[in-house]
Amino acid sequence: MTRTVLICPDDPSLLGRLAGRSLGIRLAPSADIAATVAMVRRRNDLFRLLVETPLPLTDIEPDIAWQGLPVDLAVGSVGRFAALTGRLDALRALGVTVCLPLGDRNLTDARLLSSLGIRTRLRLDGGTAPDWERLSDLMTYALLGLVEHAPIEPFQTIADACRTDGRTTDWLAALFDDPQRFLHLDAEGRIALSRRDLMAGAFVGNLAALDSPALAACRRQRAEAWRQAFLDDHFCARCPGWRLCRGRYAAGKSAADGCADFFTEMADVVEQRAALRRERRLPW
Amino acid sequence: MVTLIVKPSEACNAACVYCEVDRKGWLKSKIMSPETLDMLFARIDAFLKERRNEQIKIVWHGGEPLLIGEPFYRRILAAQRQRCADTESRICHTVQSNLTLFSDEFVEVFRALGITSVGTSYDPVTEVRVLKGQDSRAYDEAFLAGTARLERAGFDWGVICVVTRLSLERPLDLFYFLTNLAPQGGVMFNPILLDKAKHQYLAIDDKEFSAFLGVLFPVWWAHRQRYPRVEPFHSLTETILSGGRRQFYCTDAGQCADTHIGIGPDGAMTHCGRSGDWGLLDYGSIHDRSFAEVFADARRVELRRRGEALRNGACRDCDYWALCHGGCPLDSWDATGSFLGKTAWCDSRGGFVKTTFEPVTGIKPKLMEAE
Repeated sequence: MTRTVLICPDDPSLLGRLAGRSLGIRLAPSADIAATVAMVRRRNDLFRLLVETPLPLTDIEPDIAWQGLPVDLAVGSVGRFAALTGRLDALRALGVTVCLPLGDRNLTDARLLSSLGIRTRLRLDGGTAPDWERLSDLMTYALLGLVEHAPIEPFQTIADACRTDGRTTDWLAALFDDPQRFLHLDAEGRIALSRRDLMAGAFVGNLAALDSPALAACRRQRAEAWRQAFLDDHFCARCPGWRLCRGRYAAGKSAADGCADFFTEMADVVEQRAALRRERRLPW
Repeated sequence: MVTLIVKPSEACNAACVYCEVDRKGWLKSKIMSPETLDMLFARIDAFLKERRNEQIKIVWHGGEPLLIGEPFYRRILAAQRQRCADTESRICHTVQSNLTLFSDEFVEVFRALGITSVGTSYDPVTEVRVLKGQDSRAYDEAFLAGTARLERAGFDWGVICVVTRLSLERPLDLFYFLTNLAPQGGVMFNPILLDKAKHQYLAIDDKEFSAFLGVLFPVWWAHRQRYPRVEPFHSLTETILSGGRRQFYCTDAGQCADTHIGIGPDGAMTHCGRSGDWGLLDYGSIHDRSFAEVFADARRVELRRRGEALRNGACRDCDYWALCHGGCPLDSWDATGSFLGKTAWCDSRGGFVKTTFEPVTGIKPKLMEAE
């Protein structure tokens, strides 16, 4: 198995209990980044900094301390683009990935940021369903657009990971939610299998269980939980879009909504993109 | 390559509604003895030493071949190593299992036997497959757990879906359900082979099967890169593109008299697995006769003449002869009581090509003439 990444807060007492790990650190924009990074790197590998705030991007001043670090900046929205003018160069230069929730305005803003060369990540994690048609437009732009633009996740990962040998594509790693690769910790060291579980307080153990067979079994069970849809003969198991979504939006549904059309369309777009690349008619 | 369909036991933990293993009316519940297993590999070794360029594929079949447990497969390995020291590089193994009993204890010995993929069958239709004394949900749970264990251990698996009358109304449901499980060995749709008069609620005919395939084929053709191994479409396309020179299945190749032997738990040899289920074509015991003697049996000689007879008779005007060579002789026996007629499933080959394959693909088959 690939080395586990622990996504945890920048809590000194928690970090003090971790050594020899690969860590993704959640922290506020106001945090002392340099000190946190120095502390992490003394005893661990730094996977990524996840700078989180409910504020709009326009309210966040890019921190020079992010220079050379892998930074995801999760904001509540972008805000007025006019107010960003002075910061776009800095965001680009720092290589920051801007993470956005799936609200309608954010889909438009993700496209604008991408067109301005700023990498974005959308939280397509099975939570609140987006406007699937608008998401489909954005996905088509991200994967087939001929004009230069920065990648939009998780579309980029899905397109890169999608295989043509009949296998399904698991792209949860693009959202740091693959339970076989990522674990999410709170400040007390309690472990959740996804970010949504962390927010909901659904923990499966604590630091003492980190390398235990019980936790390994729990992670494996979650990774293989997709089979439940087949056991229940859930309509998602018979959906042509399953190959990309793997039932991510199945919970609580009794009939297909736009997700089926979206993921079916995406499978076509991904194949079209691969064909264009083979013909050297490169979409961006 | 010669294929041996070996049934180490005909016992099964499942009771699928269309099971044919006991059509002959007497199940051989015994497990293949160490002596018979030893004789099997002695025969294999002798055959491969006679034919220096030949290979043998052993399909461990049943019944449910995992019901006999992992120790039996250790005995297979030991017998092969002992009896086939000079020829074992030309022996390959595969298992046809319902997977409901697949556990981690099989992993090591399967790897030692060189098994990389396990064949199974599954029908996402309620109450078609059940474990004895339980319902189809228990079967489904055990099956899905088996596929998970296989994949965890790094084995591929492929699945046959038996198309019954219960399946006819939902072809695309079945197609997506099975391909969404992403079996790397692929998905194969086969028609149920039951007497329509006796099993009206399950049995279908060749036209109904052809219509079922006709719903799936346009979807598969449009996305064949996404669903690379869906049968019979993949093999049919390859066969057509090869001009009829490449055949993938025993039912189409017209050569089973030279390629297949079925072997029961007591060492009784028959034509293939299906003839063993039906109690037909008894070629005697493996303890008494070699494979060379079986291939030289007069009934095999007669079956070898079947192709020529069909080409000059019932199949004379068929443009699609090279696709199926008259089909499986047991289909003919089932319909007419003779092995020498053509299959009763014509419409799902030539008929399907004419009504669906050609219009959807725009490919007009240019098949080689009969040799």
